[in-house]
Amino acid sequence: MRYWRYGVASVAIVVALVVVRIWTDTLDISAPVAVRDVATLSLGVVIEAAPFVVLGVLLSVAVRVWLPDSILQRYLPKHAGLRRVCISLFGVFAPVCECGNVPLARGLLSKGFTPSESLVFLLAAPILNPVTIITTWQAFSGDLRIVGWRIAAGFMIANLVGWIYAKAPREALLRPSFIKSCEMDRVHRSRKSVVALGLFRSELNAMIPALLIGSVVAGLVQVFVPRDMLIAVGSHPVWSILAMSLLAFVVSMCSSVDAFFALAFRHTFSTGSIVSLLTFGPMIDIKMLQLMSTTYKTKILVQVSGLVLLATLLIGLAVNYVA
Amino acid sequence: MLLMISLFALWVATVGKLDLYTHPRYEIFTIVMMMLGGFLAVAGVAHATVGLRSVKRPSVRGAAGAVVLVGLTAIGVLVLPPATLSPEMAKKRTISMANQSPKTSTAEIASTSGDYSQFGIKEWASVLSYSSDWTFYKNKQTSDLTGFVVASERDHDVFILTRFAITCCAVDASPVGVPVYLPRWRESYKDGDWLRVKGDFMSGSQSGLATPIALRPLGVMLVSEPEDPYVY
Repeated sequence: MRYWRYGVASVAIVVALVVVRIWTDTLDISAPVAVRDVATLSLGVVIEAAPFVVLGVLLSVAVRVWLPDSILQRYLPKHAGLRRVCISLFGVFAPVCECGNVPLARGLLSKGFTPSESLVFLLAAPILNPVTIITTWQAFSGDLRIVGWRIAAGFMIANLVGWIYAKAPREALLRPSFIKSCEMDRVHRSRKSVVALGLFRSELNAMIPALLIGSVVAGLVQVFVPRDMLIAVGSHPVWSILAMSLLAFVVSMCSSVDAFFALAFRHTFSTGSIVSLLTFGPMIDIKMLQLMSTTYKTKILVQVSGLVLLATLLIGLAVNYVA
Repeated sequence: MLLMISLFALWVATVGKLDLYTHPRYEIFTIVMMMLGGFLAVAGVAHATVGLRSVKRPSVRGAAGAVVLVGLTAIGVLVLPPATLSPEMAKKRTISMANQSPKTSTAEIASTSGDYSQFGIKEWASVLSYSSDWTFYKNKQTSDLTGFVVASERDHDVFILTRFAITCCAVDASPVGVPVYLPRWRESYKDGDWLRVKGDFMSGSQSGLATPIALRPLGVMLVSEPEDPYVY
């Protein structure tokens, strides 16, 4: 009986929301230009990212509920370094936008992956996947240098960060609330479909607010911080790399298409700074940091961001020197 | 919140405005995932509501934060009308003549047989970024170009006929444009007006302009904003 009542209530809520939306659309509401732009930019991020987050959560739930605990451990190397190398190639099998990788990483953590391994996955998967590699190739007309540097940078930085945190215990890197939720997975439970539904709900309760906050911040920064401030340093060998990394952080684009965005700066920015945009952006941006904050401690995210930025800077300088 | 986002995404897709927010390549994927996500969001709340899994009572600060976030989301998806980016955003970003596609390389331009009928604002903006050699543009006419007006910062009688080019979603939108020379255009048009312009090119340098190459209109018409205001 309760389920029937709930079904009716759900339909009523959905209908009410739709009616409100249709009604407000007829009112010709006007808002200040800045508010409209922030809304458009923020909703652009949300609508682009939310489907990938849903997909990532579905994959994560499938991993947590239906994937046997031992199967991943059986096929991965026992040597920690080799394991991280293999995990950095997982993006080949799960080439979703990087925002979808966060819930998947949570699923892998609940299956016994170490926090450092999950970081390797999160940092590498957005770059080391066929979609990103192919679009980078297409955007830069087959310039092997850009493609090669991007792949190499993604691989090296992900494994470096994984190596640095290899010995750190879970309690040092992960939020207590997430650790507790992983322990709940191991408690005796009812039907798997019911468990999956509960996990889907709890994962979305964690992911969607983080996505919304990240989207709003990205929208606010885009409206109130002129992009030209960053572009003015295009020719400087060092500042250009920092500027492009910061631009990538702010724009928060999906890694599968950011190469076409970077193409617009090809003739005004150094090769090293282009590589830095293509490397730093997929790993660390406003949206990703918010999503990762559901799982990792703030201190760790600050450290990882600093490490990735430093490594990106060094690689960018190396590319500028060699190119 | 996912339910609101899903309903909003499906509603804008239904009214044909999904491309105000995201690239058309994501349209089908977005619709499918948002339908699935919305359905599962409703089912997930049922799972919590009927007590199969207890819901943890949030703290006061957490509850206040949730109320603010839900409120902002509701305003964004239920109240504000879908909108394109404003001309003010275009002014905040240098209107690029830079190439956003590998298809208009210098070599391709040189090998073009002369049929520019398919060129839109983005293609002409790319061409202008590669060359300001007047001999290339001499005697070339454009087809109808549609864009919104942004006043040039270099010449008083020039405006930039602009569109936003997006790669992924609205957040990466970059303005691309073609300069149009139209003396006293400010008496008839203002920033943000959508115009359809057709014309040939003139050497700005030879006419005392700071803009090296500009379009000299043969016809200008005020139009309404297109259904799809972006270029890709």
